[in-house]
Amino acid sequence: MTTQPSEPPVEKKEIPNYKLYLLAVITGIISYFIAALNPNLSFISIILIWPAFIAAAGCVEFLCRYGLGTGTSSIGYWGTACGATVVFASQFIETTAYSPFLEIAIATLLGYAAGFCANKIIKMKIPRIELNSAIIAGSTGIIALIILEIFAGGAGMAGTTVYYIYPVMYIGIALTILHPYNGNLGAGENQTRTLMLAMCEAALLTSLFGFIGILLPNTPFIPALGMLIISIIGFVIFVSIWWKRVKEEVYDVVWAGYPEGVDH
Amino acid sequence: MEPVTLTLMIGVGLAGAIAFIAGIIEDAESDAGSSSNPNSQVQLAPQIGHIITYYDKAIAGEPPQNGLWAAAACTIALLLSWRFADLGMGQYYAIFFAAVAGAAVTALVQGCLGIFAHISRITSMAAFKQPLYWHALLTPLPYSMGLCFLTALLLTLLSFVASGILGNSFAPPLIALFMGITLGSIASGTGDIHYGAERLYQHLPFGSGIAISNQGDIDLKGEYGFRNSVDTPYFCMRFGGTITALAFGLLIFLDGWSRLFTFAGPWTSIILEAAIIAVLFIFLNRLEKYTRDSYGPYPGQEDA
Amino acid sequence: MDPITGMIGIIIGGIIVGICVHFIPASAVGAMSASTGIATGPSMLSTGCGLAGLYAAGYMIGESLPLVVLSGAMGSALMIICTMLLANTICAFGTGVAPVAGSYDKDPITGWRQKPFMSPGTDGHSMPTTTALSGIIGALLGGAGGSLVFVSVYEMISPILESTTAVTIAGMVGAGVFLINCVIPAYVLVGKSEGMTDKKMKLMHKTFVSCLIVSVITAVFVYASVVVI
Repeated sequence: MTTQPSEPPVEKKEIPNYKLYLLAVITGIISYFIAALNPNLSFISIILIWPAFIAAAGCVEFLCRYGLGTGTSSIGYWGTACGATVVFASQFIETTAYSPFLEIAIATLLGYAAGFCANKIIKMKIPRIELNSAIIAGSTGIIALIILEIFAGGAGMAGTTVYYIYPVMYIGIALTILHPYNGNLGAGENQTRTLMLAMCEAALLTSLFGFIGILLPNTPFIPALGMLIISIIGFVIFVSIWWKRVKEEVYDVVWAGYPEGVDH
Repeated sequence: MEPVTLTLMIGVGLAGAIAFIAGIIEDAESDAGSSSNPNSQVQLAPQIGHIITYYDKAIAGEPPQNGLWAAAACTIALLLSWRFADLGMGQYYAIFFAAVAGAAVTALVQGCLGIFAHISRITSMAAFKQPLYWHALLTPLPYSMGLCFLTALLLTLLSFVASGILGNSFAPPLIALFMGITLGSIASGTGDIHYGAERLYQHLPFGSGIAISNQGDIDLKGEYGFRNSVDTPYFCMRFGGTITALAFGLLIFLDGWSRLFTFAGPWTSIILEAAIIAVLFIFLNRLEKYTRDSYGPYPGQEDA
Repeated sequence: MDPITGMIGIIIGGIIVGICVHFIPASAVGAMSASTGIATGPSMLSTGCGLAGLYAAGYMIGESLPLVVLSGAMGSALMIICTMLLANTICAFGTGVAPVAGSYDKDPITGWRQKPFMSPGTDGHSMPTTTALSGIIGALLGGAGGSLVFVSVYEMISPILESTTAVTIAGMVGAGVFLINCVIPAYVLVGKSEGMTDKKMKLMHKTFVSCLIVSVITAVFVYASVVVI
């Protein structure tokens, strides 16, 4: 998995989120064109959208560490609402002028506007909230766009039954970007482990989508199967990386028993 | 009686019954994983020196996680039922089999996310010398997955009933998402109080509220030995879960019931629902009066 | 409905959704009976009741606009009153506390004193009458706003797409706009609100402006994707 951006194992410095996002946008657009030109290669597209999950999870982590005033889950599904709603609203209409750049740009703009309101009008005074909101919205836009493109099988969305999976896509993406931080919450939380968990969950979600893709009537079978297999392979690899990191950081691993020094 | 109305009535009753059972199971699922708002107390405990053996699932807020279970199960069920129907199976058989398969896949996803959340959160508590106990994870895990399976299955069936018999115009997966999020917020607003304010703090006097200074000082002992998360739902299901179920069941049942009548044309359901809301509001007020009269002012607070 | 009216409908609906969150009493520490309000985050609870409203509005689609909007409002009000009544029941019989508000001493409707019933070290418990009324008002607004967005999107896209497709996509977009707007007030409320008696009601203009900006962008985009492209 050479495409994964956040691998440096023991690095103290945190990776800035905008770099992750730049990578996510570049790989996202490459991935879009791969899926659009040759649907049979869309298992490569799946690998290339994992960075978008990581960028979004990194931003959720950044925002929530400041004690945002919303729960972690609120920011997750708010960000997905910005990104995915833009994609959902525009995808189904048959059109010629439409391009992935436009949707990603609008999603990013919507996220930026909401962050701007939070900082300038409500005066939250969280540094770089605009940038991070924009990244969450933009990344979810990328994810939704490419998954829909793969499911459409390069033939366009109009007239298909793909809209039946909008709800699960929406809530699945939301949970996957908010959960890495929420799952790691605690005093010993750090960016590396959070992003590793984000990779595991991204692969888990794409394998769920791969399974759904196999069942969808309009989706070609080969890309969906490729998506499922490649996601499961990725899942196994990422979980083993994550588990190695957990064993380094955890206090102790015990099968059962009572805590020391407690009467029972 | 016209057959259409009879079908509708059966549909309303069925939807209410399914919703009621889904409410009980859902609340138990959240208690078994100590998720939602009381989770903050479980999270605080190691910081004040309590080593816990709770299952710290905390997948997200309760509404989104339930939304995912319901939406995923219902989407898979719908798509799979089309595939079964292509093979020549009857529509209703197809939906029943497919709903079970969808819920099973969802339960696997829940298990994965639960393991990730528990292990990661315990790892983040390393500074407070909290070890990762396997038994605290492995005992409640199948239980919690089973409850998730049932929740997803029931919500899937509920959305098929709402769309097929009651005639809601949304597609079943979207109804499942709405129902999942609504049930999640109802359960986190009602059932969790019984878990967070009573089960976690059974050593404090009944009726004292949980003062901010006591937060995090949760019970570590169960009825026998150290408390594990499987010990929780049997306590909470008796009261908190049933009341949660009543809230969600009432919502679905009354909403459907108000659509059975036609005396004022399409306005009937709105008039009836307004009346129901007024009646329930009066109940709320009477309940407040009853508790105030029977409990009396808090000792020491009378002239504050 | 022509697309311009639909666009204005989305903007108005979005703003109403933002405002409704201020009225809904909610607080995460409510789960420990340590504060007034329903025991979950304000945005989470508003989402739950708004989506219950959308579900109710789904039965009415195809009828006239006021019917759909009112049906959504009633659906969410029903959800919130069920939740509040039974949350009070749990507080009364499960944890043994009476409903008390922290933000006022005498209930404006019933005239009952609140302070003596509050257990020490907490900010109140569950929902007394006035707070509950505020919750119902909030839910009526939220359900109406959500259904207005839903029906506007539906009317805009129904000429282009076939009916069942249009309903589901409009429902998803309606839910999306609802979710965007109901999280923004959480920045003002900071996780806790006691409804209309809370001091944070004075900050509502901030929510109004923020939701206006965000809704305008969303509405213009939906308009553009339906009409221009």
